[in-house]
Amino acid sequence: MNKTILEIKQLSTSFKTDRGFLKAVDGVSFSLQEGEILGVVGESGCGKSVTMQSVMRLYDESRKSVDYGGEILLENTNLFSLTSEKMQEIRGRDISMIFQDALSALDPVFTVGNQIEEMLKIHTDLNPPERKAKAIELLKLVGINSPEKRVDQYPHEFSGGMRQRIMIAIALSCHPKLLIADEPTTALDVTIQAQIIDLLLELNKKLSMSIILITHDMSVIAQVCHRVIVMYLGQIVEEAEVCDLFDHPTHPYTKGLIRSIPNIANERPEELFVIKGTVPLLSEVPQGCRFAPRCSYAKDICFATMPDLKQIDKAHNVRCWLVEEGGTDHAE
Amino acid sequence: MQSNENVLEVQGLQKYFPAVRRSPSQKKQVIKAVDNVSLSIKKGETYGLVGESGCGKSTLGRCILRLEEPSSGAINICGLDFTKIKGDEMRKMRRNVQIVFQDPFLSLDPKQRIGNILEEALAIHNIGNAQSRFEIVINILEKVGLRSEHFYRYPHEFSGGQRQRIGLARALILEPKLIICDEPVSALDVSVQAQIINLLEKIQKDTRVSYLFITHNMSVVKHISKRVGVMYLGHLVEEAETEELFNNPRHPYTRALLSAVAPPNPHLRKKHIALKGEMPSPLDMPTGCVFSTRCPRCQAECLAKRPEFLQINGLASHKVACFYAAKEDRNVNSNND
Amino acid sequence: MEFAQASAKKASLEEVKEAMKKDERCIILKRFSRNKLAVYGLMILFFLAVIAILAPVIKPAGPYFLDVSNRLASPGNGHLLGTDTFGRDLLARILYGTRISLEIGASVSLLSLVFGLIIGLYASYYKFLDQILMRICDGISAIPAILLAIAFMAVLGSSTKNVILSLSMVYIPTVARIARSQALSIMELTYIEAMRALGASPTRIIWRHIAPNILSPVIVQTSFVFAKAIITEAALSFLGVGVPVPTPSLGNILYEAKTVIYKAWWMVVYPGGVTALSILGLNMLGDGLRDALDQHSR
Repeated sequence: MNKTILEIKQLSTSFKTDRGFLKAVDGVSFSLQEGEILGVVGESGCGKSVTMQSVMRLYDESRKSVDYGGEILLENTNLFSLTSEKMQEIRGRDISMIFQDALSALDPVFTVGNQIEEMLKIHTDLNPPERKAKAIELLKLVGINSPEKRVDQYPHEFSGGMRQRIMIAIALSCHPKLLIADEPTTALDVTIQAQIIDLLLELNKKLSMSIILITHDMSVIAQVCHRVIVMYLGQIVEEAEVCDLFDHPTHPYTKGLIRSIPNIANERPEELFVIKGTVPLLSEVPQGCRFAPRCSYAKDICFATMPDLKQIDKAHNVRCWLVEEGGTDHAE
Repeated sequence: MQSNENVLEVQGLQKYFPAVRRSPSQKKQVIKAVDNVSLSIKKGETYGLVGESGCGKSTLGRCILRLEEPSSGAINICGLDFTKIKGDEMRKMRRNVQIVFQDPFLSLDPKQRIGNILEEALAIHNIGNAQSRFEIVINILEKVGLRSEHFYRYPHEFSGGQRQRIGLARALILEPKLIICDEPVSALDVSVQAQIINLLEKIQKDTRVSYLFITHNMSVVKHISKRVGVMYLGHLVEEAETEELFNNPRHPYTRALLSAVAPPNPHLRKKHIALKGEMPSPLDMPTGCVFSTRCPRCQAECLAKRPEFLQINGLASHKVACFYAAKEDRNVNSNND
Repeated sequence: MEFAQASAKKASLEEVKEAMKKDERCIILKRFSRNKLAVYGLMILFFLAVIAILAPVIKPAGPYFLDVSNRLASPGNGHLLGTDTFGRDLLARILYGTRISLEIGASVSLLSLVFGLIIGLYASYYKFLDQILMRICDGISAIPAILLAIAFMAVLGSSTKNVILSLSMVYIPTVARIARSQALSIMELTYIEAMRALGASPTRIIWRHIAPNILSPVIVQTSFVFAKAIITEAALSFLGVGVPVPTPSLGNILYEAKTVIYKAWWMVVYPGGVTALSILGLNMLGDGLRDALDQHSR
């Protein structure tokens, strides 16, 4: 479990807009070990999806509307140094992605078997009967009953949860080293969500597959991940092992996120905790610490200068001035 | 049932949709979206209606508003029958029941300034004149946490959370007795959800309005509701006061649902009750109990007939539609004797 | 709230509103001007409209003045574009003809817009009306525009007014159809349901909520109807069943040119060119509007 599969170094992604280039991701660095499940959590606009889509280089580079910086090392190969053709080989074969809305991610005019086999056709040398057999095997792996019959059905004949499983099957077809799951359970019902989470955990164990799980749902993070990074406005503000993050959330934003969820296991509070203010636009990113305007603990230095990520404990990093000065004020 | 205390009384509500036939020779089928649901809500109370996609909770909400016409059953709002009336009478009744929708982006007319959207609600009911309407709108905007300058802005200039506030303002401006909240926070970010939930509670405290809070999010429903009803495939399968439901769920579906809810706590990674199979197609409803195809406690009688909605645990407020739960209840009671 | 306080507040908000409206106008203009196609199309149309309006100024003699000694004269010598078979100045004919054609096009598109909108909106809202109205529209659309227009003209008789009427009847279904399909998709949206929940009457919903939201694609379609009306009118007149001679229209100048096409190229090239130019301008405007307006609706 010690082999590093993915290493991101100072990744930055900027998009061309009417107001010049806006940096959606600003200096993000992290690494992923084999067999590890990493959670990326943050709200809309924090850049978590953009980060992962940058890892896959999914943005259209031909129109020069996106600009990347930094390095993405997939087992020591810098993905930014590859040509588009080479990158296309990597996608699907070495890194796979599954999305939130399984219905629109699947092509409605092809059977699910066809869609899985298409992946195999692109990346492997199997012949048609072998591909079909593999497709059936994959459907079984993701828990779809009667796979021999269902492999010839169309996406609309499946329910939401099943379609998500099919997407996972497609993503796994070439045994990628890394699976990126972008909000895979957000659109699903609670019981189906639990099933998909179980499936991901099982696949992680069985195939030793590394997973990056993007979500805004802290409960899912708590159930699934080994390690977590918390993002805000394009930067990592806290990074820790999952138990450490929930037991000792240090960055005020992390604390706020955890506290604003109504916890089914706890006593009912009078009012839910609310992080004051709203996420600013990317074009109006504040100087200094980006969270300062909404932070109840903000000091002068917070507004003036951007804090760096500092290690406060084993594998626990935080981007906050208050940590430098000996810890946040725990008296609420 | 004291009808002067109940803001809403629903009796035996049914909503059937005719299914599209593939060929004329196919038998005529119906989709029973809501089947024989009865519930009531008191003044100033929040009733949480939970269930997963396809259970009919949204359809029920829309039938109560008569955005869908119920196939049969009675709906009483503040003691008056809402099912049969039409035209002007219905418009007057609409002042008593309003709705906040799930989608903050599509629930507001993009071509109208939000102040006009709110004024229009008043104009439809001939409330006040131009001057007084303006004041009422400004008041409401401030009540939901917006500013008076926002009057002249268009919906696309607001964030999701702000648009939900506007939707709430529109629901409140007619001073209804009951607001149906159809997944009002599901499309919002977590921290914004908290803001809107706090706002809903504050407004309830100030105005004693009742809420029918429809959602699939168990944690939110636990926080905000006084009573909870659980729906499955068009049927109300369990109903109890919130504490009681979460502490003593009796229906196997409720138990599975609650076990599937993940608390945000990595130390509490537990096994959830796995339900076999999937929710059956509403065209292919099981005879007998609707949950029988997936229930871990399914017995022969469950397949034969539908269980009645009966009280349990010795509480009039806790009702379950389940043979197994009723049996369990009798065993417990006989053990206690 | 105190009356004085409220009035003051309203006054300050009014200022905010004026400022916002100005901002919005600027944004729309900017967005429109960024669309090169639309701007050039508009310029072409504007040019044509201006010369059409100024026709009496440019050629005060009018399109009927006969210069008999100079029949079929080629361009030059006092007749910039030459003369026609009767010795009438071609430039004058073209200017007044453009005027008539543009008038016809504008009237037809206005009538199509108004009635198409009404039909489309009510057909989409009331199912039983839908069946009746759409079947009629389908029937009309099934017949090629020119043939239908000829048929109408045969029934109504030849006059400019009847050309407008016939063409309107031919093109109303086009606009009605798009209005209806747009309205149907708007009706599914949540904010329409919200209006019903508030107790709004169907009339209010149709005109204050559905209509404004379908206006963009309908207007784009109308600009194309304008172009089609001009072409069809030209075709009708070319066939002799359009605007009755001697009233000039771009089409009937070409009608008169039929017999002298080899002797007097100017009688074909110039009116043909102006016709093509106006169609081009209208299509560019329509395309540009479609691109510009589509982004605005969200």
